Parts: sequence; C-alpha cells; structure tokens
Amino acid sequence: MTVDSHAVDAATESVDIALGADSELDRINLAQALKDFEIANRRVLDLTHRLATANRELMQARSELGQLQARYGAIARYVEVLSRSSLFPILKAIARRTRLVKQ
Amino acid sequence: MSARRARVLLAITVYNGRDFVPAAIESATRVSSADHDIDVLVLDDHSPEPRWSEELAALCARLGVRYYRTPRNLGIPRNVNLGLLAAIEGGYTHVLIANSDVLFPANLVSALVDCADADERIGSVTALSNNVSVYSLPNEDPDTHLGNQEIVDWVSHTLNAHFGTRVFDAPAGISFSILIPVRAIDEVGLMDPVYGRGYCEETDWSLRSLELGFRCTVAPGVFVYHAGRGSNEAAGLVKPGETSVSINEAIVDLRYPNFRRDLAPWLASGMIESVHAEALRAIGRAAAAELGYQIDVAHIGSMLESDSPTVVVAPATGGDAVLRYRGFEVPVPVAGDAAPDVAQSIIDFCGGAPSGVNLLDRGPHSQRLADAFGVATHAPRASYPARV
Repeated sequence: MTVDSHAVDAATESVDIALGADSELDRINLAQALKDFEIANRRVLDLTHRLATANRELMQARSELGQLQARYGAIARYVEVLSRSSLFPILKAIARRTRLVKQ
Repeated sequence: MSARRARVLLAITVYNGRDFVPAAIESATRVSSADHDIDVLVLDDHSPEPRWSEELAALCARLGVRYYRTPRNLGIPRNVNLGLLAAIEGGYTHVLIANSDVLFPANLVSALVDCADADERIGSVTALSNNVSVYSLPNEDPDTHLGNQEIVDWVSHTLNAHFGTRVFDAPAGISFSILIPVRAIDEVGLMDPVYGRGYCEETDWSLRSLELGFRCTVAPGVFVYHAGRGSNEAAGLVKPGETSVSINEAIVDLRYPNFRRDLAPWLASGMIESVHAEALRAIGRAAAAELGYQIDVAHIGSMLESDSPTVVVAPATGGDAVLRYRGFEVPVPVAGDAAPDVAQSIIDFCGGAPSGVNLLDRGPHSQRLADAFGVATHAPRASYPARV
C-alpha cells in the first residue's frame, strides 16, 4: 500500500487550521489586533517624541553642567593662586581683625 | 436573587496546563445556571505543549463548551480582552474572567451576579479564594485540603449563607475569577496591552474604573479554589518564587504614583483580617454543626490529617482553643480558665457537644476537661511530649 504524502500533509494542515477555529472570534481578534497595532504604533511615536525631548533636555543640562564646571575650575584656580601669594596671610589677618571690630 | 435573568459569559484563559485545566473546565460546566444563563468560553492562547490544544478542543467539544485557539500567542491582557469583547459583541450582561488553575463553586455566577447587581456603581466583583493576593483566606495547605470540587462547593455555599450579597471595597480586583458587568467595560475599556504577557493589567483596569467612579469589590460569599501561578511559572512569565512581574509593577507606579501610598492605610485598617475572621468562624461553626467534631486535649494537636472538624484545647490552662478543619484554623473564644467554662464555651461555639475527646497530652486540666465535656474519653498514649 502506498501513502500519498501530500494527502497526509493536507489533512494534518486542515486539522491544524480548523483547531479552535471560530469565525466570530477570529473577526473580533483580528479587529482588536489591528487596533492594538495602531495604538502600539502611536505609542512608539509618542515615546520617541518624548525620548527626543528628554534627550534634548539632557544634552542641554549636560552642557550647562560643563560650563558651570569650567567656571568653577577657573575660580578654584584663581583662589589657589591667591592663597599661595605672600600677601595672603596679611590679608587674612586684616580680614579677621575687621570681623572682630565689627562684632 | 437578582431581579432579572442575566446572561453571563464565563471566559477561561488557558496557556498549557494539561495537569489542571480539565478540572477547571469540568468545574465550569457544573456551575449552576438555575438563576442566570451561562456560556463557557475557553480561550487557548496558542498553547505550545505538543498535542495539548487538540486534547483541549476535544474535551471542550465533549463538554459542550465553546473553544477558541488564537492563531498567535497574545499574552494574558489581550487574551482577556478577547473574552471582554466576546461578551460585548455577544450581548451578554456580565463577563466572568477566570484563570484555568481554579475550581469553581456551583454558586459562582448566581452569587457574583447578585453582588454586582446590588449596586450599579459596582464595576467588578472578585471572588474570595485561598490564593487571591492580599485577600487570600488563610489555609494551612490549600492544595491538599481544598483542591476538591465537593469541598469548594461546600465552602462557597457556607460563606454565601453567611455573607449573602455583602461585598467589601478593595483597592484592585484580581482576574483569577472576576465578574465585570458589561456596562462597566463600555466605560472603562479593555485591559492595556502595555502589560505584555501579563500581571498587573487588572490592577490598572481597576484603578481606571475607580477613577470613573466605579466600585471595585471583593465578595466574601463566593469561594473559588485557586492553585495559583499554574502555567505562568512554567512559561517563564514569573520567576520561581516570585508572584509578580517587576517591570509591570513599575508601569503601575509610573501611572499611579499614589497607589502604593493609598494602599498602606487600607491594608493597615484591619478590614480584611476582620472579614477573614468572620469567614473562618462561619466555616468552623458550619463544619462542626454539620459534621460533628472531636476534641483533642493537646498542646499541638493530632499529627493525623483528619477531614473532620477538631477542636484543640490546651491541657495546661484550658485558655486557648482552636477549631481545625481542612486546613482552616478558627480561634474559639473561651470564657474563663475553669474546665467547665472552657467546655461550655466550645460547646456554645460549635452548637453542640463533641462526639469524642482525645487526651493527647497530660496537664493539670486534661482530665477535668474530658469530664466537663461529658463524653467518652479516648486516651491514645503519646510516645513522648508533643511540645519541644
């Protein structure tokens, strides 16, 4: 006896397709899947927009931080130079006495 | 009973679960339709277990249950949505979304519909269970003691006789077994697919329903056995030993930043403990009245598993008594320390005298307690003291 392999495949496939088939639920499932897909796309667009905005704000904040760090570095270096000058102890003593006189 | 005859779609979501799903579906077909029309719909989320979907389809055909296998795996939220949409499109008045690792009681639909229809502001009613998040009714070993259709029917019937249509307002519903009137779906909408394969989607839905003025409730008069995490752990949805999905919890926290803050006072109010105590008392009293009971005068109680109610009373002071039945532990209030007072308190609580007294541990009051009950005493000899 010979077996028609194509017939077997077709039968198996038809069982698989028929399994749990329900045209009404298929219609509901498909309609909702399309809505979910559309909403998912909108969410991706919305999230991308918000990510871009957040990224721009992050870049701006980083830039401001960099500028502030540069200014702080310059000021710190200036204070360092002043504190190493020979006049600094005299100026410090004057400042202390001035504070005492005010009190 | 609800004035109108409701049309209820009982939608059971399935993903694998060869070991437990058949019992859940058979249980669903036994739910009483005396008061309302019920259709059962099994939503197979493209289970990958070899040949399982074929078996499930055959089982559903044999039981006369509608079966649908989605062409692709959807995840729990979207599979649940299929059930909600099928209810809307099919002209049903209510939809009951349920997991597949459950046993339903016969009074499931009649009791839940009665609760939902008692107030039009009710947007959802979750059944009580041994495993329903923070609302879980305590039980020592639910799988051993409660995973049985007959006992589920009995517990639910007993609780319904006590609580009737009473519900309590809850912070969120649990979709292991939740009844939603279709009018609520019309306003609140569907589960959000953002929760991917599932977990927390019903919390999100509940919070949306609360924002719209609906009540989110739990019915202590309906008991559904829930094995819990049936197929989700095996499918890798939750990690072993975990009960939720952290990324989904993060979404809830993002959307509802006050949810956890608002939950704390509700949990601390003691309301759920009070409902549990009431439920346990109802179960204990009904079991003792219907099945009779025995007394164990013992520090710990018998190690032997028993299907009969047993009151364990301490032999030393006679001050503590607890009724044990199928894993439920019900404290029995005892007035006074004297043996006759203790005995009378137990008899009053149980609605009659015990059928026997077992002296398992010796103590100052043990014989006096046995005498006070006025029944024959069995005195199995203990090999050694039960207490450490």
